[in-house]
Amino acid sequence: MNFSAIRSRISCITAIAWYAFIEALRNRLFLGVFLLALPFAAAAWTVDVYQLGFQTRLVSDAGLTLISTLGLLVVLFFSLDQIIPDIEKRTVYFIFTRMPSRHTYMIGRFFGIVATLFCLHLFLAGLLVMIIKLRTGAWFNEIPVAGLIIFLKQSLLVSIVMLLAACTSKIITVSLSVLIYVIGHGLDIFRMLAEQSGNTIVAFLLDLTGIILPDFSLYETRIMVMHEIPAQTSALLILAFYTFTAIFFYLAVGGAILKRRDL
Amino acid sequence: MSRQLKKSSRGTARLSVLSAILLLAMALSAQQYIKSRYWNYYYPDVQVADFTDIVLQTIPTQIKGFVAGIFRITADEYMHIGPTKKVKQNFVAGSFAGNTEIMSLLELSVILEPTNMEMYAVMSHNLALYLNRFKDAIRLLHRGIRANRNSPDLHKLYGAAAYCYGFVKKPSFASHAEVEKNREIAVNYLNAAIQSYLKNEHRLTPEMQDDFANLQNYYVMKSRFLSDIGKKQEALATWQKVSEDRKESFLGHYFTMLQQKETALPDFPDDLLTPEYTALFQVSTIKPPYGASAAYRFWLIDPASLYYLALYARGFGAPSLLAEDCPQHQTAMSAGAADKPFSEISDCGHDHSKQPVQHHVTVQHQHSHDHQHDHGEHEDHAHQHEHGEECPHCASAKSWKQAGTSVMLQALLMLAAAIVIRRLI
Repeated sequence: MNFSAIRSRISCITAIAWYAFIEALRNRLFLGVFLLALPFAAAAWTVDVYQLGFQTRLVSDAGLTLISTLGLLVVLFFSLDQIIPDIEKRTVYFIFTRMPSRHTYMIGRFFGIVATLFCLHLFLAGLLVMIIKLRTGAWFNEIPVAGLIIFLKQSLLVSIVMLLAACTSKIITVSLSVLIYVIGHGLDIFRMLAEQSGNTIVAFLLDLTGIILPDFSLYETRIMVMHEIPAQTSALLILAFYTFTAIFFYLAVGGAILKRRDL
Repeated sequence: MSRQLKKSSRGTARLSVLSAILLLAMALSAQQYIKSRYWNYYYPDVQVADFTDIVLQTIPTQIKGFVAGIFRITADEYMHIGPTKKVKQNFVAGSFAGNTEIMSLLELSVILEPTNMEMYAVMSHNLALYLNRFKDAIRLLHRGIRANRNSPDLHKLYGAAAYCYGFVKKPSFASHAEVEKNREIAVNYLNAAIQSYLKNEHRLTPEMQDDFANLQNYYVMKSRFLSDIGKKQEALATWQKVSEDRKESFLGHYFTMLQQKETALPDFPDDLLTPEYTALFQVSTIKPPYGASAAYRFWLIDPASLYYLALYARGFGAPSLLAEDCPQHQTAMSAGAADKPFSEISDCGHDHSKQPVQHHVTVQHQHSHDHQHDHGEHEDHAHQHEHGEECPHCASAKSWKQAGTSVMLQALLMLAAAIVIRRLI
């Protein structure tokens, strides 16, 4: 592949990602999600029932839970709106005629959602940090770090939704995404329990499953934030490396499926 | 023919409308009958004072109870975590006293589940005795009493109110007049608590027994408060109801003095302890933890827990499972580690202070987590590896490294698979 081919591919990915991002921003649901954050931000002031002072821990904990939940909503609803409607409305033919490959289309769509997700996390985490700074006068650096970790986790989930959207219907995509999300959080604990109880076969099977399915328990941020344990750069780098390779893997599989699919 | 058809269809329509009205009337009467006959199923003792209460009535009780439970567990977690390091907060980890972070969560749990009695006592004690919100505490308890009028545990709320009134002002720190005024009210609440307890005694199950809110404690408190407000004979009569094993106390000593009509009998039982109080405050070097630099908090936290938390936070293993495997931990715990409030923990996060002295150094091994240390240099910290046996101590210390390696391996495998898929498929 020569330089001009790479350049044209990158420009294709950027164009698709940009339009996917603009499409998501114009979506009323996204606007609703943004507006929903404002009453919750106001709740940080009203939650102090006995006028005891700002509830730092409660606000940071509830705020991160909110960021995670709203991000999850964006992932599930917006990722579904990327590939399946294009196939159903036949607009995908028009795109494919101008694309070097179907992989490019999938990567472009993925980056569009990731950009939307990034904006949401930036806005919400920034809002949370500012609220805490205004009320306590202290910078809580754990929150942007936790926001970054949640963003990485949800980007990985986007790639899984993309993979599923390339080969199944909407309802199956949603169901399987939620299932993988739940299993991904508990897989490591199940594996350890199996090891602890001496059940080597189950542990081995779970190990094998753990290679293919993502391990979402790696993205646990609550303990780090609640106990104010500083995040180590090395741990974040390993996590980012794991996330990007896993995303690449799922998108490659999704692209391969889309390529083989008879549209 | 057509007129006949019209007539019959009109008759059918009328019949249908009448049947519908009849069915509706029957359904309404059945609805009213069920609610009036079995009212206690549908209208439990809940207070509907404002719009929030009406809205809450529309949410199923199970959901409210579930959410309230989550709030309580979270509040308990916050209580154990303690204050944040970045903001000055006047409470310590492991105690509800003065904790401001938990109050909103507990308030929400009480709003959602007003029949849960445990939270009222915790909240009211915290508000009245540590957070200078005495009126709020009493208001909360009154709310609880209104919402639990028929509960066999109602005495706990009266008992909590008596405790708040009884101990919000102490003889050592407040004027006698103030103390007497409050304790007079406390006696009224104690009477209500005792009355409620005796009335519902047959409904109290062993699970409802409380270490603090029980009849014996109510008698002890009542006799003390009665003596404080000058009703010495009534206090003595109440003291007679206290069981013998509870009588061996400072208060028992006071009542013995009262029976013997000692001339040196002070006004308050607390005054017996005045010399001890004075001595304590003269020699005490204890400084309040709040306002100090953040370092003190690390003295209160077991470094082992921090180490395990760090492991867990990075997803490198469950701390309980790691600790369970460590014989050093078990030995240390069984050797009576509870005697020392803060045991000596080595850098690797384990307590080696209780190790037998006959441990010899045979293998020098290094841990390469946060920083390296050599067990061979410190004989006290050394333990031996025999026949190549995997040391669980080292296994737990190494686990983050192993887990990190597995994550990297998985990532590399996925990368390779993705490249292969991209190239070949």
